[in-house]
Amino acid sequence: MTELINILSYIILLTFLLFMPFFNLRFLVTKKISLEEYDLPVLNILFLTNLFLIFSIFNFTITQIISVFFSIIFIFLIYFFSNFKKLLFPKNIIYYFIFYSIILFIFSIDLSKNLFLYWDAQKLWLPKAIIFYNDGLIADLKNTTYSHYSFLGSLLWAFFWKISGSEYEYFGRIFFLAIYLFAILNLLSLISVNRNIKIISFLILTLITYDYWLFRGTQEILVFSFLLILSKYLFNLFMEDKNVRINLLNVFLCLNLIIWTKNEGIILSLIILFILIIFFKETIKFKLILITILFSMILLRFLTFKFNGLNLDLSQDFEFSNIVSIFASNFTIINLTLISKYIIFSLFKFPHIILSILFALAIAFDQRLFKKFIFLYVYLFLSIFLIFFIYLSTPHDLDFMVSTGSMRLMLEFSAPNLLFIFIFFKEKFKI
Amino acid sequence: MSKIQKKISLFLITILILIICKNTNFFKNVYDVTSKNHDSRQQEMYDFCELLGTGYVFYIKNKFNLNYSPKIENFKKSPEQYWIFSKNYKKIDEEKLIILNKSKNIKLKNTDFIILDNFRDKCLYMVKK
Repeated sequence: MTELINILSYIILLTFLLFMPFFNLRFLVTKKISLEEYDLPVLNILFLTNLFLIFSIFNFTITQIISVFFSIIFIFLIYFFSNFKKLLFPKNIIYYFIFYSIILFIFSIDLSKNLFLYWDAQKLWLPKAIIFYNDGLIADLKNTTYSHYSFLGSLLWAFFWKISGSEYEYFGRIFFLAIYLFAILNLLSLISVNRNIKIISFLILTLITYDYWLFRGTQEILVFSFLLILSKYLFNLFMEDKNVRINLLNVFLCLNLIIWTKNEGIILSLIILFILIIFFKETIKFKLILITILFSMILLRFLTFKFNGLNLDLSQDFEFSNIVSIFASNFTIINLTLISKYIIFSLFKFPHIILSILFALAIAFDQRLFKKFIFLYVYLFLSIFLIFFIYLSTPHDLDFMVSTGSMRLMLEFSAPNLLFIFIFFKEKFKI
Repeated sequence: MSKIQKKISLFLITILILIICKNTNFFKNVYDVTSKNHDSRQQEMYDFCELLGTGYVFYIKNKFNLNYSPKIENFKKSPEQYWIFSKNYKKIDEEKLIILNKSKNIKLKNTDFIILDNFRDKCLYMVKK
């Protein structure tokens, strides 16, 4: 019973953290920026997670980061009560707060019952999280297997595990659930419908996408969630002329998190940058600034690894010096069929992917819409191409590699494809 | 939104929440979380003494009330199981030893240890004499 009460109180704490505006509206709204009310909590959580990362880069232990975090919360609470009227709350916040907490509670109970950790989680991610949890530093990760892997997921796992006050690791994974549900709810702010319809859509989306399989301690669900948050702002960037800076800020904050969560996040961030450069209607000078920002972020990631004595390899499963010849020798009909087979399997494993593709096909019949949202088709093509490229470049047993990893890759790359569903309803029903 | 529409949408919301509860076995899970402790729930989720041997390590941890991990040797290729002792991660008690997935034809050479727990001569817990 105590554990149940702990879960419940922890969920309320997490929901408060994700729903509370930490910034004053006047602080952010200038003549050039007019912030949507839904974007405030997003900006908060993106800033906070990036802040945790920066502190860890500066060799703060989890206990020290938690002290900083509580100091921020304390200052915020004073600020909150003294400036209550000036703060901006999303419409119907209590309504969303309640339903969000209910679903988070139901899924957290599922997590606390199942508790199964996948092979990779036991071998790679949890040991890193335990090191952070026991106040280890980035340099201590060199004693772990696959020390060249990005570690943000383990850092967040350790942070939210420690902050829960519980000795059980799954409290850290409840944050993965929280950010996943938060990303879905945030995406729903793209459509203007009645709050009940929004909650119904939220429940349907969670029903389609939730599976304990995603929360076995692997990091794909984090990449999926950050990418889902990013998708909304990428959509806004291409569809709206206002709020360019705040949308870009959100996109780059998400990209930074993706880069530090998984190594393939670096490639993913380059795909997003490519789409930005091609489809974003801005001057070349501005685009060059964007390229410089992203490459600086990637450089910072590698420099941090170098200074802490961690391995700089992107992957030890590939021979980068022979990648072209390996790709050429693997490029056979049998291998292409094998990869396609697992991609098709993943469509059935994750119904939202097949739904997104069906809606993408439906939109493609309308030439006007197809041209308008071509950036999404480019992303879809590049992400599938990347999966083929990754597996055709492996020197190892292809069958084993594809069967163990392709579904997870399909899942993490699939987040922006959900926009097809939203666009369809938005355009057809003018919502 | 009319009153009827409101009622229909609230009804739909309730139905969807119930479907989510059913899909995740919510009520059974609540019962399990309240009636079983964390380690026994975790133990149930893994094999006992087949590949990872996680279940056996949890069993030994609880039976002998261990705070520090014994040295763990698994005859099958699997991730290290030291994470089970996350409080004192990798602070290994060399006086104690857990053997996992030993084949019956393998004879243990180490005579310095006495066996305190033996599961089908496959998974063993030993301490130094």
